[in-house]
Amino acid sequence: MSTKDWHTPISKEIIHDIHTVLDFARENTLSDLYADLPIVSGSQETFLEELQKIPTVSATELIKHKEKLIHYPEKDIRYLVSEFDLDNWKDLFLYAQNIDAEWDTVADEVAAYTPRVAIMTVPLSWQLGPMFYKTCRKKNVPVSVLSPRNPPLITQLIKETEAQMVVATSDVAEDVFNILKSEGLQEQVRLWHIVAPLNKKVTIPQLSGDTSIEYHLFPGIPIGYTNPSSKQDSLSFLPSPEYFFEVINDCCYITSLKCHTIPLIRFAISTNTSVDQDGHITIGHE
Amino acid sequence: MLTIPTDTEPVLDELQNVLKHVLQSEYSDFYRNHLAQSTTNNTFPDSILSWRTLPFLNREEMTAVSVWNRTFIPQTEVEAIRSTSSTSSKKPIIAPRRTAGNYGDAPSKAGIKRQVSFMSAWYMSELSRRNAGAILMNMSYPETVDDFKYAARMIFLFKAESISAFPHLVIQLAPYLRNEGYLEEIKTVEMYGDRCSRAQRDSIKALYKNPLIFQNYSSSEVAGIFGISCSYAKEHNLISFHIDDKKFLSEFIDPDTGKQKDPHEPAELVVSSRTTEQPFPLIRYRTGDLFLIEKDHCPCGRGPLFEMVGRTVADRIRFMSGEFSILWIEEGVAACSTYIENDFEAHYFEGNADENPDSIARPYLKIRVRPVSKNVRLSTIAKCLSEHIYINSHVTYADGVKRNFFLPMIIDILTEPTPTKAEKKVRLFHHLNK
Repeated sequence: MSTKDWHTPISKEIIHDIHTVLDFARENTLSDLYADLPIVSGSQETFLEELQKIPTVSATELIKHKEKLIHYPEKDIRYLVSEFDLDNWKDLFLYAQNIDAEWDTVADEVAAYTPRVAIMTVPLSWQLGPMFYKTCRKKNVPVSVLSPRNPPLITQLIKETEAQMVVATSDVAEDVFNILKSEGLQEQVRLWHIVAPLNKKVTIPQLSGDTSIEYHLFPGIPIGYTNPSSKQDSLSFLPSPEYFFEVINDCCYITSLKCHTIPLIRFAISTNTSVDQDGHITIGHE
Repeated sequence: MLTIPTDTEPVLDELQNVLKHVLQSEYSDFYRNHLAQSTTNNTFPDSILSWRTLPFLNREEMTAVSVWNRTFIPQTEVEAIRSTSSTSSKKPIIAPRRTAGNYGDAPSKAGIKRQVSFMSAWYMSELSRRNAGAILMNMSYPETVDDFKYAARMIFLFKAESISAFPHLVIQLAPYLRNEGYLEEIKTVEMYGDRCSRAQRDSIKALYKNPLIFQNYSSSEVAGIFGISCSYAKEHNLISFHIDDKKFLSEFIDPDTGKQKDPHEPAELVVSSRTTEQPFPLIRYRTGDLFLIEKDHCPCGRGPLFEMVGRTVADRIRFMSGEFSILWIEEGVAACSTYIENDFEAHYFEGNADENPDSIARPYLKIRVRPVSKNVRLSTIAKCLSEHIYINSHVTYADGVKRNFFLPMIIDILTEPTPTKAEKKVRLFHHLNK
């Protein structure tokens, strides 16, 4: 183990959660995707060593199993997509998500900011709308979901509905903010929630109000975020508590701590990874 | 014969309830202002005829006030805020919505389990589809050729049996589905939004190898689908539907005079809400859509079958990234009066899919204009028009090109002065991309 290697601190709860997820994945009668997972045993001291006997998996390898990813009982799921960019449509695969899954970070933000209306404007092909709608509905906050291709229209909706929370990509947030600013309305949006692809460097614009940056592995799979009230470096984030993180030889792997419809187990998310003393994960991009 | 609700039917009580709901509202005074000149009381209306003394509601009155000034329920009960299609006007109607409403369960009834929808109210339709045992994949409205390729790939991966989209979109999508080898797997085509012409219907049936086709009629401001296809219409290859008369009172008027008109000839539909379930109940709303009775007595038992035959102002051409509205072209031409006369022709060309798979998705528009003098270069006119003609609610043609929206526009000369050969045609799309 390199001195730079790191993992989420191991506790009894973490071990319990990982055992639960591994059992769930291995014994899933609906999919043999993880049928060959080895049994992980060991005490708190030896658990990590046992866990790391499980082979890691990458997105490329997961694509090979794409047929196995879409045969869950469809009454209980919705589908996410594996790609952010339309350019990569040839590599696209569908990824099942439980119909009841909510967007936990957005739920927390809606509770904290109690916006009059929450607007989301990310590419509709990302399939985040149902999760956003369900999350906001639970807090009785009306939503509007708009194509990001028409910032003036988005701005008009923000103005007319008095929306105070906007979920957007960084470039659209900047476009919309600039239009608002040109009309003297730059203070209207109190929280900008920026959805950023993990595998792509994004420039976070300077916006009035708070800015929360959330990194998604696939659209709809957030794995890290920054504190809404801070202006973090865009490449650095706090790891999501929904995953167990390992950094080994600069590579970062995640394991689900919840029984997601398709759990990720030692899934490689990046190379060139480092962790600072505060537990912020930094991912270098080319 | 068209069934007109009689005065003895519950409709009068329902209309009274709607009127009380809006006039006594603590949330909005919209209708108190709108109906200020009307004489109403607790027993109004006492007849359908008296209801018709109320003034019409039109689009401009709705857009003149903010969405919250048109919302008659507590804000926390509003589930979503919709805008009328971003391609339908410069100033969209922003409308509050509740899930209540019929989004159609026809795919489920047809045994369809997987549908891809390009409908913007998907987050609501998803619920009704799911309740009926089907799963919905939502796609954004394709605006570029890459969007179409992506959409076709998604439909293929999802193994969708049904698609739900605007009629022109269904046609434009076909070549891309063919490239995926999936065109003939589509069993059901559900259309909404725009009118589907009979020619479009025939094209779709030919392209998709005879799928089950049906059209629902909906609008954002009315909140949901209120024209619903039936088994008879589907079996007989009709693109007509029944109006949801449980939730709406329909009237048909002459669009020019506003007088009642028998819809055995094209007549404009006017709707009034019979329930208060929607955040903004409609009172005599002029839809701007022209309807014709196709069949007086439908064997399904739901009254007459209507066909939407056009709009009161047939003024727009949709394409994959927006639309060309005659009004907007007029405004654009007027704004370029330094270079051209206030006079033009607009021609729309659509390709033949058999010759070129992309051609259906690549229509083009030719605008023929009259320069004020021989000294005006066509490229100057093209630049001016591109900056003043809108292709959707807020986007000029020039903006659209920058954003990779796709519709070639050709500027041509209407009459003398005759341009030089080099100037005869300026392909604006390419010009702007230089």
